Order: sequence, then structure tokens, then C-alpha cells
Amino acid sequence: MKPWSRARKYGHCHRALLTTLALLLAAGCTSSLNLKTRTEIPTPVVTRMPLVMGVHFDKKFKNYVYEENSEDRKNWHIDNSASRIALFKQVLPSMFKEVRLLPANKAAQGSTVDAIISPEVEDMQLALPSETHSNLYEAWIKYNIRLYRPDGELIGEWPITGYGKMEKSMFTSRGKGLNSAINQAMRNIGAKLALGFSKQAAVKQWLAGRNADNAYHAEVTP
Amino acid sequence: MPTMQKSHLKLLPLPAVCLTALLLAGCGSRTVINEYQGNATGKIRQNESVVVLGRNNKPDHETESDFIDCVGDSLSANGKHVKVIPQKQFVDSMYPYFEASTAPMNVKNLGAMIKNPAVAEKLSDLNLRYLIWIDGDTQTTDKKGSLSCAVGPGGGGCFGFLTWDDQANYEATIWDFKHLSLSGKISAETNGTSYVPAVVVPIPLLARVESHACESMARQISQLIDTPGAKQASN
Repeated sequence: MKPWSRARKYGHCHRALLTTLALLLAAGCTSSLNLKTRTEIPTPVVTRMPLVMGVHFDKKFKNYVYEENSEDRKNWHIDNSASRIALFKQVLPSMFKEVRLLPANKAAQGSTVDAIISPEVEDMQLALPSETHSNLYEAWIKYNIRLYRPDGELIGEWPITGYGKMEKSMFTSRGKGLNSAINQAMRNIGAKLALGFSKQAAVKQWLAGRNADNAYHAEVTP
Repeated sequence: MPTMQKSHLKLLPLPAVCLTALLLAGCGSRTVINEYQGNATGKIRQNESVVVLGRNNKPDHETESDFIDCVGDSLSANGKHVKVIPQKQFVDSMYPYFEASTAPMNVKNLGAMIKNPAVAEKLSDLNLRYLIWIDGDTQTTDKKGSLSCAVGPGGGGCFGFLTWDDQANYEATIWDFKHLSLSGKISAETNGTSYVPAVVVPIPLLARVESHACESMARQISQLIDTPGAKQASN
């Protein structure tokens, strides 16, 4: 074989190999997803309750990350931990007279907090338009809200779910579409927390008990 | 020679005629408007504002945000006194009352909401008169034909013929914030067919179904809130 034809033959092989590698790389890249969400939650317009509320984020809540490595979702890693904390830091101060961040779901002795809220991530589910054959990015998030007395005794707990959907046409990438759907779901959770807190049965009962105690002390105190 | 010229002249306009016919057919959409008038509460005043919001509480569809923006922009353009607050600005400033899961479904629920002094103050700052809810979407109902494109060393092109039908169905519900009553309801249904013939170059002849629905609806809303004695019903 002449040298120039041998070189051309190997040149073709190299190009084919490089093209195949590039295609494989591209396929791998498009299916993996690494996302750190950014959330924008407005300040709620609600009446503040005259309570000093503690809030405790445990390690599980702070560190929860959505991870999936299946055939359809290879290497999915979605970290919305900063957004979760930001949601509660934005919503709770509008709901209560004062909010204090606590290291545990139990107040230190001598503390004047009236109760402690501690949220927990129960579940997070996501859907792409290509998976549901729709034109929507969707996110569904479920938290469990626990309310404790200052001594750590559980007053009550209830689930809060948030659903978000965003039109595919508004976004140029999966990451942006999912980020917006997650943001919408978190706004939903913030809204339900702000409007629904005082309507929870356990909270109503606790508040009624507090009001009764305060009225009694007002009567007794000379 | 004269005979050949005549036959050449007869054949020449035919593709142009076909294209023109397709162009006219593709550009046309048919809109049907229905209107229900509620309590007559007078026209909007100079400093009062309106907001157009999309109803997004149903899981199977989402009212397109560009349709909402289109109706808002058209109201601003058509109305003499209409000041339109952007949807996002309103929803953010009234958070958490107008999220998909918390928004009031009935005008009667507004009374309870505005009893909150913080909410009343916000609404007073916005000087909101009308809240217009829009629910619906535009869907492709039928698709026929095929189009294939190829690129080669000598160049590229497309060949084929594609056609599809679009149907837009929207309903606007107008709430009067000042009087806490239903001012009216307007529904718009628009149908249109789009064509894409392709001989090397595809020529899209699109029926602007969504924009026709938007313009028709905005015109009707403008007549209801910006002009006294608006029409009872129109088809």
C-alpha cells in the first residue's frame, strides 16, 4: 500500500473514532443533570401572629439533595438546599412577631420562644416534557412541618405539598425549566404555610390553650 | 410562435394563483365571541388599573403566559383609561393570595381577603378596579402531511407539504374589585389552518390563531370596562 493511501485510510479511521466518541460524550452529557436551584420568594402580605417562633433545620433537611441514576435519568443531582432554607427565612418572619434560628428543636433554658418549627423533606418528584408528552416542566415537593413546645414536646405535625409547572417554550434548557418549576412549587409551599398555619387543628388547639392561659394569668395577676 | 407565447402565458399564473389561494386560506382564522354581562358598575376611571391573570389551577393545561401578556398589551393599546398592571408584579406584590393553589375562585371570596388590612393597603396602593381571569389554551387539533429536509455537499432543501389545524379556546371572567361583583364573562373560540408547502424552501403560511383570539378578546373586554352601555351579546 502506498504511504499516502495508508495515511488516508488511518485518517478516516481516526475521524470515525473521534466522531463516535464525540457522539457518545454528547449523549452522556445531555442525559446527566447537575443543578443548584435559585429561588425567588416574595415577602408574604399576611398579619403577623404575636408569637416568638424558633425554627430548627436539622442536618437531613439542610443536606437533602435529589439524586437519581436510572436508565432515563443518568447522574441527576439537584441541590435545592439553599432555596429551602431561603424559603423559610423569607416566609416565617412575615408570619410571626419574631423568628429565631435554633440549633435544636428544643429551646435553651430561659429562652422566651413560644414554639419551634422544624420542617422535614418527605419527597421531591420532577417531570420533563419529553417524559410526560406534555409541554410542561413539573415539580412536586412534600414537606412535613413539626411544631414543638419550647421543652421539645411535639405539639403537632402536618404535611405541606407544593406543585409547580412551567411551559417548555419559555426555557432554552432543562435546567432552567426545572429550576422554575421547583421555584413555583416552593412558592406554593410558602403560600400554604403562611395562610394555613393557624388553621391546622393542632395549632388551633395549642393557640386556644395559650389564650386560655394568658386570660387566666391576666385575671389572677393583681 | 404566437400560439406558443399564448400557452406559456396561460400556464405562468397558475402556481402564483395556487400560492395566493393558500396564502389567503392560511392567513384566515375564524373567531366566535360570546359575552355575558353581569352587574353594570360603570366604566373605569382615569387612575384606576386592571390586572390580567391566567388561571393555572388545572393540572392538564396552563393558560399561556404570552396570551396573558398579549391581552394586557392590547387592553393598554385599545383602552383610553386602562392602566394594566403586569401579572408577575401583581402576583408577587399580593403573595400569597394569588398563587395557583390559593387564588380565590369566586368574586365573593374577595370580601374576606380584603378584610386583611395589609391586603387592603396593597390594593389601595395599586388602585385596582378590575381583575380579569383568563382560562384556556390553544391546541393543535389535526396534523396532516409531511416535510423532509436534507443537507448534502451540494446544498440543502426541503420537500413536502404540511398542514395543521389550531383551535384556541379562552374564557375571560371580569371581577370588579371596587364593587366586589362579577362584571361579565367573555369567551373567544378561534379556529385556523396553517400550511407549509416546501419546494426546496419551505414557505410557512401560518394562521395566527392565538393572536386573533387575543385581539378579539381584548377588544371585547375594552368595550365592557372602558365604554358605558357595552353590547349585550355578540357572535
